[in-house]
Amino acid sequence: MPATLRLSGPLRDFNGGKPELQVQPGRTIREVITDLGIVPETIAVVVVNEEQQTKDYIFQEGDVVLVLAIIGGG
Amino acid sequence: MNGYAGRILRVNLTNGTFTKEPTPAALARDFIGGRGFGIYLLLKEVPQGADPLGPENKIFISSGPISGMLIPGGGKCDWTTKAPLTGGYASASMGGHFTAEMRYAGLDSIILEGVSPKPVTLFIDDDKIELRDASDLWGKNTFMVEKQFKDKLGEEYQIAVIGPGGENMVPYACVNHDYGRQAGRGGVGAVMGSKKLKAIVLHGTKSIPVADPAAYRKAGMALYKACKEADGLKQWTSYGTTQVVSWCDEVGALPTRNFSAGSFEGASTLSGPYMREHIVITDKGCFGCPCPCGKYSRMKKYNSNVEGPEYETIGLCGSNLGIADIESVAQANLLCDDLGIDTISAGNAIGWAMECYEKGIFTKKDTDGLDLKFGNVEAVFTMIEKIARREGLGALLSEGVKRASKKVGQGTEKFAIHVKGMEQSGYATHNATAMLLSYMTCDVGAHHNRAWAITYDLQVGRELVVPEKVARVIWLQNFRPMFDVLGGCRLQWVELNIDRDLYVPALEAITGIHRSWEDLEMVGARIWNLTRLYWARENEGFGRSWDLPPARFYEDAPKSGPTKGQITKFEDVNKLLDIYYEQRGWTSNGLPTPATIESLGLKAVFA
Ligand code: SF4
Repeated sequence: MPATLRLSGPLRDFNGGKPELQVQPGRTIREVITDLGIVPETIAVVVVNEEQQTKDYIFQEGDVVLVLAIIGGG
Repeated sequence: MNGYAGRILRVNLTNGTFTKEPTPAALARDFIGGRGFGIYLLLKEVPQGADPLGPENKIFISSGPISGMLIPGGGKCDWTTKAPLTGGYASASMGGHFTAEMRYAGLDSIILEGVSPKPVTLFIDDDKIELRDASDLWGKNTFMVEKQFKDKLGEEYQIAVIGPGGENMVPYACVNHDYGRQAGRGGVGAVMGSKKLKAIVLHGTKSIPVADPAAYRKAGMALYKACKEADGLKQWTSYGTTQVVSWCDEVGALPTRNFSAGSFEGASTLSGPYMREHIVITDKGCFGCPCPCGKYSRMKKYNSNVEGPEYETIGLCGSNLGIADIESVAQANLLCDDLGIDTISAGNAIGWAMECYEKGIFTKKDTDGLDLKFGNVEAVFTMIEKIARREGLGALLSEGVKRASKKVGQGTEKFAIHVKGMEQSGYATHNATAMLLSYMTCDVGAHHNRAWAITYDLQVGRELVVPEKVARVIWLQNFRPMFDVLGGCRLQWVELNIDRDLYVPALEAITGIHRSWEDLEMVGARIWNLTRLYWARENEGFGRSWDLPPARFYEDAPKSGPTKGQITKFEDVNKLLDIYYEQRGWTSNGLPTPATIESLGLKAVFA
């Protein structure tokens, strides 16, 4: 069962405008977003199943992973 | 006029008179509100060369068409004045509930002019307007005064108040409101203090005419729905601006020990989740906000509470001073708010003094016996108090790092972290050229709010100096401050990523005038150019040299952290300015050309 990666706001541009994509378990969030063209450093917050995690978290089956872009800052 | 309360209140503090003037339709059409009104009125009404702390300076408090309306974040007002900190343009945005109440009292703006012969409070309750003796409040801290008014008059009264910092005219004194919201930067509180105005107390019961009530309800609800459904809502309301502490540390942007580095070994105990777990007791928001970012904290160690600290204060009064204890940072926040001084400038000034002490330029003789080393919490608390009261070393630091370093000399100017005299807010910019340019060209001094471009740096290459980066900064500078014109908060767009086009029908339903974001950005560009012209009018020789960043960012690379060994080359600093001026239509010395003034329709305004 794949995991779901959800991209917020402007990050969707890296996924053809779509908010979600399915990801096979076993890879880190860092690797997956890098493949999409997102520079991992631009991501401030990663939430896995409602818990904050690091970008080195490895996708598990059925995870819902939310990646938040900080486009504007305070 | 739809979308406007319809009146501007003029308060002459010298002779105690009030006049209400209709809000000019042309002003609303061309400058919309908020800081648009502010810069127009500043240019027109405050004479060239006015002393910021003298009777000729004025304060313009302005709402915008979405202030006090059922639009997410419609609780912001702009405070414009000639800045005592910089001698240029100051515009500070204040949240809370003040601006909504001001509109319900029938006022779009309040103009404060002259100087009262004795301390007074401006009291406004719908059409009842009075100046009341405030001699008994003079000298008191902000929280006590606000509570006193609330206890006596009721919770619905909204209060803006200065503390000893404002009374003593500390050039970075702020105005405090709602126990934790400020008109923070540039010294608006000092100007209020110079006018002997201790507080403004407001209450109103009127309504604002709306062009199309049904469309207004629909558009307002669409905005709320977008906020409530936003992916980032839970994170944002849990941590507010503190959610970026760890990230700033990770990318080398967290101001550390007077910006000598961008990463701090104690960052984990300053992070948003750590703070939430250890000291936050509840959330607090501004008028009508569906995503409250204010975090209300309890400091057991000090038996005290404060709204905050938010990211900027954690950066400037925490890592920048070598402090990793979140309770102590929150306590420093409390002291600054209660005494009425800006946490960003205060944190910078103390950081600069700590570096002077570390380098042996200051000894205990200069610090009134304090061991002013990085990390000394008690010394920080003492210095905050001394700054607000302008005592001992605090008197020097109260002047801001530009003036203080000029007085001290000995190379201390090189680590005075400011642009145009305003201390830099919470992002270290050793190697982030778009963010550096944002600070260099920001229209109030080194503040992040106009253009926050650091993620763009990271996405396209942090050291790159290319026209696209400059264009991004200019777009942000024209666009983001429009929230300060409309009288709303930008964070719903910034942090929740809601679609900015949702504001367009809301604004149209309220005012009856259709404005696309392109139209709004054009207003933003006009305002930006006017602020630039204002700086030039008030400061002889104003130009490129005023836009240079602190030397630290092009001479003094961090010795640790992710930006270790990295700086921006000075030739790139100049290249950034060359491209920026060209794209803005300014001369190579950074001044709007006659053709630019003409094309933006500003000739009549800046006559
Ligand atoms: S996001 Fe924060 S600053 Fe903006 S309106 Fe809400 S509480 Fe106020």
